[in-house]
Amino acid sequence: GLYMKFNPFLMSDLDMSLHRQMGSDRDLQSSASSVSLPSVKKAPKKRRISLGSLFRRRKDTKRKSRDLNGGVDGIASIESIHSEMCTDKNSIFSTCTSSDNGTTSSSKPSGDFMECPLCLLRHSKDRFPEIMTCHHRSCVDCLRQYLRIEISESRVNISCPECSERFNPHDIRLILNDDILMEKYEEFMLRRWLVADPDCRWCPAPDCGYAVIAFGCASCPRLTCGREGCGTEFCYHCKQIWHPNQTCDAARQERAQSLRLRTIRSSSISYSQESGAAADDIKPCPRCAAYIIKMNDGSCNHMTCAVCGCEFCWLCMKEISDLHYLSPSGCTFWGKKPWSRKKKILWQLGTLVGAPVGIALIAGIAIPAMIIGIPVYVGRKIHNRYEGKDISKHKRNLAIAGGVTLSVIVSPVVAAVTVGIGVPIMLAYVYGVVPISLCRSGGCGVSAGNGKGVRIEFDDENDINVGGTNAAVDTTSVAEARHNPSIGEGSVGGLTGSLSASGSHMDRIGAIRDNLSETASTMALAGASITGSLSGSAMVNCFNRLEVQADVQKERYSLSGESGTVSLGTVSDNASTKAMAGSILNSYTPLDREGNSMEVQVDIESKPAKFRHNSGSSSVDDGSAAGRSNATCSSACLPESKSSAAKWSKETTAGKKCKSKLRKKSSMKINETREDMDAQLLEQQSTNSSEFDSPSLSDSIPSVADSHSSHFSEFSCSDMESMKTSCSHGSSDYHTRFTTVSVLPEVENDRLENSPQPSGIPAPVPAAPSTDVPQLSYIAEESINNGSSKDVDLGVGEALKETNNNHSQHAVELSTAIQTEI
Amino acid sequence: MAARLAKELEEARRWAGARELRPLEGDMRRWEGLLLPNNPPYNTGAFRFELTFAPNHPLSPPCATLCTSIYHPGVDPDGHVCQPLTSAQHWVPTTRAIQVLQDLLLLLDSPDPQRVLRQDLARELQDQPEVFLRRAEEHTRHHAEQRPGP
Repeated sequence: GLYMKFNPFLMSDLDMSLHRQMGSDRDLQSSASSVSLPSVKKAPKKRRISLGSLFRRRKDTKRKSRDLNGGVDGIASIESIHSEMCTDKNSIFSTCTSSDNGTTSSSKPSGDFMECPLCLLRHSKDRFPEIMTCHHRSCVDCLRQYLRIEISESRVNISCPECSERFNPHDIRLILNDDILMEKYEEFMLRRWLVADPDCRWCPAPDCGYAVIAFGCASCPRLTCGREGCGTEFCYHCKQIWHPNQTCDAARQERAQSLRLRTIRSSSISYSQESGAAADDIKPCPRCAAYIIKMNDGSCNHMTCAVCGCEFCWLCMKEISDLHYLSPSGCTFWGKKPWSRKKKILWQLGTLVGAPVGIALIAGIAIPAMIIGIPVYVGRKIHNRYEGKDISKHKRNLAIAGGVTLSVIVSPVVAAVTVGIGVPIMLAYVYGVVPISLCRSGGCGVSAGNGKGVRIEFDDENDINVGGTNAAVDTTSVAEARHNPSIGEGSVGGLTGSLSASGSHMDRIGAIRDNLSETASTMALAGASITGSLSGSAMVNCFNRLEVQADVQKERYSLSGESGTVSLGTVSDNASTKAMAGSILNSYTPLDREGNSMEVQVDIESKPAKFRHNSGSSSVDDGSAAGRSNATCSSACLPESKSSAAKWSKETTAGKKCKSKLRKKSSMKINETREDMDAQLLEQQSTNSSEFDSPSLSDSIPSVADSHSSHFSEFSCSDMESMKTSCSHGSSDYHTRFTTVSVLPEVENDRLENSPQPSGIPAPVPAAPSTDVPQLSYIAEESINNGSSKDVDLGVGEALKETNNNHSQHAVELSTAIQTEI
Repeated sequence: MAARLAKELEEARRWAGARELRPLEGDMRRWEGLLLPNNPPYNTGAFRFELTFAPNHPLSPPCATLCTSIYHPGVDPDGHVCQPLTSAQHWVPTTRAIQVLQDLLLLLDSPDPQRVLRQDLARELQDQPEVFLRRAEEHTRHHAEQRPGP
């Protein structure tokens, strides 16, 4: 598309504060200090040589006192340092300009002019702020305006207008000179990160923009919003208002009915119309699930997400390659609707099936034609040649006969050679190039080989039918429930309605899947308190889940416009039944993993692998006993049999089966997308340590991807813990939050690199959460230190190596805090 | 950014690839002109284009469209082109209007298989180039504007 916007309406409706559901004050403040200090320290050394002494002196004195402090004192000191730095830099700015202006009004120091590449006007050099990350210079007014626009459009990966180097946030702060915008920037940064966090739950209350990072809450799914004055209780699984005695599904049905009764349809529709977008103009990005509005200004269907940068087709909502619009996948540049599934399959099958027929036909005609035609042609040529000559008829006939005989011998050879070369070429094209382009563009149910696409389709339906027998009764009701709220809500649900209407069987598949997922999670809920019945239901669970797994996997492979949107539909249905304010952003991401325990693997292809891993294993938590979230994280992906997880053994083996199946098909893609994802995560960081992390990261990923997802997810769980503890109260500590945001991707990267080692962590389950967190904070510090000077923290490297560390500094408060949560 | 637009207009006017470049109805943010392709089958005519700039130019990309109907695989019947240079993702504020126009002219002169908006024409160009050329020439004769003298 030529122009894309992240919907400001959805953003502006939210309260711009976030809150964590933890009470502890301990956080990564010391790591925050370590983040800000190095970057601040670098600038003076590199750039301000003339004033370096000034900086260095002040920095040293401050830093010494800071290193000894920790915790709250650390924060306060960091703030003061930063503000001092700001004023220092600002004063430098002002002194420069004032000194320049002070000399004379009209004559500036000669030769100190530069043309700004943005406004194409000449300014004196002091109007060009020094940027840390690159050597491009633009005048401060242009830069300011540029930053203003970028931030207002919530693009937080702001890079230099001339190159692709990300701006250092300190530079941004100084150039902007606007606290409100800076707050917005940091807010968006945080939000970006939270979008990718599968544990993040938004409060569904209408005006509440608070989010809760719910770690290990699957078994105890009642969450309470932490905002003072809100205190809304809501469900971890379905993110709706807390329904104490009902399953998520039942609660949703009830809600749908009450919604219908209250004829909220009109208000919902007008709500969406107010935002100026029709229902089918808002779609979530296939990778990061950020909602995207496509302005109907005639731009094409090739979209690039502003949040994560993935390129996808607006019609089929899949990530695309260059050939997507050229191969018969059903999507054109300006089309408004993708082909129906039937048309698509027809086209692909037609190409594959019709090709050999066509080729056989051609060969069948060409060979006789050549065999007959060549002798005839030769004969006629000879005849014509000898026409005018004065040779006896006998000799001429002899010559003709000789020529014809020769060509009769030669022509079959020629024909055979032609066919033998041409046919393989054509076959190679049809069965090689076309399927490759199709599969590269996300797969349309056709893999190399005739008719395999058909088989996948049927398998889909077979599996679903088999699994669906369990839930056949509920199919209609679920479908109804799914449709009605979608009609009722209007905006996103409308998408569901419009697109799923065209294929009834797809509806059923989606409905069954939805139902299965709900069944699984609701059974998980029920089983949380009664472990006995859980073992009984777990078997059914597993069966259902297995079907869901297969379903999801195959759906993803045999993706057409409709099946993709069916899954969208189920997701957005839940999305639409939530309160719009503040909740839409994350509805897609966490919801998707609810009932699909092995979505872990599938989603690797189409979604951020990192977070899907986390989500996949977390969803297994659904059925586990309380407090075992960490353990079951790992048990989901590794076939370890634990004491209380024995009942899940079937599931894990099933999962493993699926996993291996998937891995064969998609191992390469997993690695690729993981690298992509990590590249993206790296992009999220705005500190300079990103360059440091990237080389090591991409190397460690392939080895990690296959078998250490559990550790990864586990660490991510701990991540959430520390996030919770770090951003304790509503004291909007932007600096901390910002640094926390940048810290975490780094933390996870380090985690990946070291993941083979802490295999002993899952074993001591009760102790795991509490010990993980202090470990985490040290890991965070260490990772930050890696990219910066070493003198900030001491001996952190060892912390990483210890699995059960005994650091006392943060352990006590953290453990108490965590246990309350669990 | 009016100063920049004025400068860019000046620069673009000095370029030989376009003629009669002027702001539409006095609006500096909407330019109009005639593109003169160099390669057959379009080199017999001139094609009117419109270049619309964003309010916060150069921070947002401009949008180039063709007003004259053209038989070209990279131009759709409404005159839109697929121009990565001016997409939100690839746009950099240091790109100047003349470069946008040059890119547009280049697209007309050499159709890019990656920037195809009409599959049928693309296929025709690939499989039966002489047929495509003939049709394009005919279309140019019928619809394109007169090429202004040198």
